[in-house]
Amino acid sequence: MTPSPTPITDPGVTVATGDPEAISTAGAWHHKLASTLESHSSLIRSTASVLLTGWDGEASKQYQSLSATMSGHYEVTAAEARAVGNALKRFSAELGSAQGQGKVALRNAIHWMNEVNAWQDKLAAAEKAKATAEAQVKTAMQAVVAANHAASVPGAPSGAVAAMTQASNNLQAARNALAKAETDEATATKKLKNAADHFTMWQKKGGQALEEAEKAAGVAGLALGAVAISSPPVAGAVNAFVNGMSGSGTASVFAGFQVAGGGGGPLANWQGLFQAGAGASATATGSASITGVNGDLSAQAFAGEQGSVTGNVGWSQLGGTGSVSELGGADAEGDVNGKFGLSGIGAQASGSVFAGAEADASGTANLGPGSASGHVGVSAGIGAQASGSVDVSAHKIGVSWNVGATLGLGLDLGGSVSVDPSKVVSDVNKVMPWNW
Amino acid sequence: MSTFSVVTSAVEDMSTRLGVISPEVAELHGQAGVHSSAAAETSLHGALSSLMGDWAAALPHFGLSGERLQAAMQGAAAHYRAADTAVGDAAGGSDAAQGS
Repeated sequence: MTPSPTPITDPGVTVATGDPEAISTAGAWHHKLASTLESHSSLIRSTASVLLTGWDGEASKQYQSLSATMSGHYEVTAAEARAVGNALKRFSAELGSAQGQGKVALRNAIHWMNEVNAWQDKLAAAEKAKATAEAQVKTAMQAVVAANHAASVPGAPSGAVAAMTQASNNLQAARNALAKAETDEATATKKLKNAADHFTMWQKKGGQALEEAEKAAGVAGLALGAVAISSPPVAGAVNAFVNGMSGSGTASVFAGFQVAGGGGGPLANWQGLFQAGAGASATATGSASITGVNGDLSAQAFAGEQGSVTGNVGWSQLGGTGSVSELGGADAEGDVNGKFGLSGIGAQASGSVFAGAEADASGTANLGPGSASGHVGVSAGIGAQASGSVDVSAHKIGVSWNVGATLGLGLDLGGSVSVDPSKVVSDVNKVMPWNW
Repeated sequence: MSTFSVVTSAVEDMSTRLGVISPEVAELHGQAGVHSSAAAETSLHGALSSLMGDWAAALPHFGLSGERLQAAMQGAAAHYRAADTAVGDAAGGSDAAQGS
């Protein structure tokens, strides 16, 4: 008989540790972060887009570039956060599932561990009972043999037969006890094997659940390890933008419309920048920083149109190319329609054409040559909100505008101006050397 | 040459809209610390803790970038507003000169 085994106390199942809920919450935080960064990216992009149509110049380019860079960086980072959020959510779900499976496995393992222990005890008891029964059978057999011998002796006492009968009965009882012990042993052995099989199965299931949890953690770890977080180009890029607004420079601000383009035909064409409305040219010296603007400004105000026009005149007989430069000297008729004739055209090769015009609500204004800055009471319309249309053709540059509100003087402007490029060319022709 | 024909108030509106970036990022940054131990008692703990540390370090820069973009826009608005004022002054002076 083997000694009674020590009872099993360790079910051999480890449930994966960790808090799936906390991990899920961390995943939700990453998703929220991703959504926030995506909305910020969109906001930066849309803000820049709004400004795109109304703001030209170096600072504008820098702002657009900076916005694009920042928007892109926010988007990339949002994607990283989203990936982490997904990984954590997935890990949370898999960990929760593994823990559930592990708990079931543990519960069953404990049950079958107890069964094993119980059947081990029963087997031991059956084995012990069997051994006892075997000894009793042996003793009873010896008693039967002795009783038979005593009863067979001639002149045996009368009680010898009864003793023989009793010995036979005792032997039968011992054999019955032995049979029962053997049955109990067989049952216990079978039950023990069954319990041991179940115990092993649930231990294995528990191990698989733990392995799944570890595998899920590994996958999530790979996802997290692949994340690269970098700070946005806040210092350099924003500083570059702000610096782009620093120093000396010339800026022209206006309310109205600007068109850069060209037109014309075989005989006359033009190329230039045309502005109509109310505005000002300003030379700024100073710096802009995130806290404000410092420096000096000198400004020249105008109302009407200005631009630089280079006209090419392809006369079949003479040919020639000229550029005109004018500042001032223009007629403006009507508050809603203006005809600008050029006068005082210089012969310089480059410059600007300026047809000064009044653009107030009252109507007519006549600005004499050279009075570029005259009657510009409504010209300080910086930052005005404007809408209108531009009509450009070989013989007409027409601009209509509607200035909702000027910030400088608070006047409302409305109307249109037009200029005939062919007339410009005609004026060019007048001052060209072939007419001198 | 620069031209700026957008209403200054619109620029300021753009700037105001950009102003949501910093506080929203700050709110998320404030919550980041809680999650650094979310994966405690798992083999992911080290990776998540490290990642949350990275977020905690990077997010203030995102907030700052939003602030600086907003401030840059405000600077631009101020810049052009100053030009506006200067032009108004020049126009007034010119009117006065012509009137005389």
